Amino acid sequence: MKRRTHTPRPGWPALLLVLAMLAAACGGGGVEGGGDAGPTEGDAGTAGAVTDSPPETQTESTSTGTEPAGTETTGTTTGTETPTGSAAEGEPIKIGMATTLSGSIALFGEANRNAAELAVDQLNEAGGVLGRPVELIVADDQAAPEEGVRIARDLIIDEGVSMLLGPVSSGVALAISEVSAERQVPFIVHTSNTEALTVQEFQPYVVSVVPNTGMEARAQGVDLAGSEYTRWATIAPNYEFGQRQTATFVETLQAEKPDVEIVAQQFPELGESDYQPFITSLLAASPEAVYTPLFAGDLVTFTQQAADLGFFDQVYFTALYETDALQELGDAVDLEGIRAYSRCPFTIDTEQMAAFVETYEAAYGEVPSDWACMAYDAVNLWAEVVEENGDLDADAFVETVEGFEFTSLRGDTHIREIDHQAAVPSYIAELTFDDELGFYVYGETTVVPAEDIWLSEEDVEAARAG
Amino acid sequence: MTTQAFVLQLLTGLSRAAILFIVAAGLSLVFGALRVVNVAHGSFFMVGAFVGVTVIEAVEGPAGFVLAVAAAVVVVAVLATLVETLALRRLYTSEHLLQLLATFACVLIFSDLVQFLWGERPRSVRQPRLVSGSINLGGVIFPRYSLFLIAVAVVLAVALWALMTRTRLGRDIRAAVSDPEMLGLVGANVPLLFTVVFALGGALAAVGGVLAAPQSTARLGMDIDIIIESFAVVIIGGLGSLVGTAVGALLVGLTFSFGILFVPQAALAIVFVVMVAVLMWRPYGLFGVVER
Repeated sequence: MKRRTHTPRPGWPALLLVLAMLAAACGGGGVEGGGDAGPTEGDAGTAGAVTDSPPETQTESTSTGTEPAGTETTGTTTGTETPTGSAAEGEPIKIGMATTLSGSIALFGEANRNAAELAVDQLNEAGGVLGRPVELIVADDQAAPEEGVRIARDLIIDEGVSMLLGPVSSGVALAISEVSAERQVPFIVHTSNTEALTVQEFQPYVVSVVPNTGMEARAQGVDLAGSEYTRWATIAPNYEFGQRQTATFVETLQAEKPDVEIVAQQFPELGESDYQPFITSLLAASPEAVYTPLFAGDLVTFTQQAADLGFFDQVYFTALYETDALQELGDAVDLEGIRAYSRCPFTIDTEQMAAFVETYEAAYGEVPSDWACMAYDAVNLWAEVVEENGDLDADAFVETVEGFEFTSLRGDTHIREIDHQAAVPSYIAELTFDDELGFYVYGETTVVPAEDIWLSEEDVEAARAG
Repeated sequence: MTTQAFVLQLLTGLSRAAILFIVAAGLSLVFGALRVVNVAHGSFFMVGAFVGVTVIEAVEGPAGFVLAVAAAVVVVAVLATLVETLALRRLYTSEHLLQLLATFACVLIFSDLVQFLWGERPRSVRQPRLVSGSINLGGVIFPRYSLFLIAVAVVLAVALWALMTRTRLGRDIRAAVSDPEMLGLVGANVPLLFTVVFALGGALAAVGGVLAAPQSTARLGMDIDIIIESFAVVIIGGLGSLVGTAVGALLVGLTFSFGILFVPQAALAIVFVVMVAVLMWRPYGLFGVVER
């Protein structure tokens, strides 16, 4: 083999090009872990850019009758296959779910899908909706807004779905919300929760059954203002969600308790693998308490590394420990007494939750995560509203859903008229080890009602006007 | 700032530098001999981590950890050999852009492969008991595992130095760095040497991956995260220089850990400011040699 002796210089331009390609790969979310996807990402900026392609083009390209790529039909019923003992007959009603089934947050998407499948199966066993079987079509949005737009359009135009569910990433949610408005199809969000969905970027066909980012951060602030700690530090993933959540928390805490002082703030990149220098930097400022909106794998990594640095012995800590993270941590770290908050823990004490946990465990061999519980609520809310209306008309759906009262896994709740936000609370508790399950669960739980933490109607209007 | 806080920040910076050095050394070695900027180096790191985690889960105790390193090294060395013989070998005479594209294609392929084989869930494993938990160094509580990482990096650095200066293989590699054509003329099997060097570089990434997994997790996306920082290291140190890689890793690790202490919002930016400053002062990096 011969090599040229005078090879061209590698040249930094070429290297920069590749780094740019890597960055592009990050943005796609499908290939890598960190990216800009998160269960709570509030990246409003990505929504506008991706919905520019004219709908006509989309119709043309999809009207060839081919199945949208990556779409799987998971409904248990088709025209020929009616479940035994069911009274459901006729053309199935199709509903679509766009969620993330690839990449690092696919875990959430899988939980979404599992729970929605379970809900649909139960509806069909009980005779369907409007006497017709329900068919759920799930598609992978790859945590990319443009992909979310594409599959939302495919689901609506090709499949003719009556309702959209999903997604995990708020960036995708904002993009799909525009499609929902344009095509006038109800869109229920159950995992992504940027406050922009129901406030600044509100459109009448969107409904949220998940406490939004503002509600979560304010719940934390209100809850912890009652503690004795005044020297606080924060650590949050360095993107729009992390920064905004932290700012709202600090604002609320200081409004409730003016002598609170923020002694250190850290913003590691999303998907950071080594939190040690961040943790030691926080400790160097000797805070009494630390708040973080880190979540999922990042929170697990943070927790393990913090434990080995003696962090939990030195500060009071509060974070979004949802079921997945707690399961992952198992008994590896002593979390006793840590103040955790969550959106829909499976330990919520309602009859509905107990029944759901039992069915879910039987079906999937594990307890449902928050992402499963809320997707289940979304399907059932839709079914109840449609049953109430007696038809699938989208505008009738909007009219009925405003102020609609229903029983969720989290108990009785209703949908507020002004922003279509479900009056769902935030759950805060000290963690306690469950010997039977082998991981930490929520102990005695403080339920912060929606009324205490959501924006007042005046504030919603002001935010929309401003 | 207390002495304890300073020592703690120093140690976290060193342990960050440790993984970076191990991974970037492979990247730099490959560039030095083959003149290929291997973007898929991060993929070798990720594959190594997942293989390692799988073995550690299957085999208990310290033996499992040693076995994990061995398995990861073997698997990745085989993968690297395939990449070198099937793809890169045909591209040495092409322009660098084609090599970059080829290795970038490998990034995508390996990423999908890992997702297919191991799924979406991040995998975490316990640290080996011998080096788990923390140790009290005169009031400074520090993880044993991080100290272990620093020690391994030092041992590997010495081993690599010995390899390069004391062995026949090292002599050939150094000869290849300065003039592969001449090396071929004097009878060395240059294609084989290149394959061996590429596999060795991959193996270093794999070792880094196995070592990193118990500290954080094995997860999708770790390939991209590590490659970006590794590039910063080798660009600062000079592509192809082992000493440069060590200095680069220390600079990046320590700049980062002290950077976030003083300017939290801009730590990563500071690392790249250092990189740009070095490039302006020495366009080939601190210890890099001018392109042959």
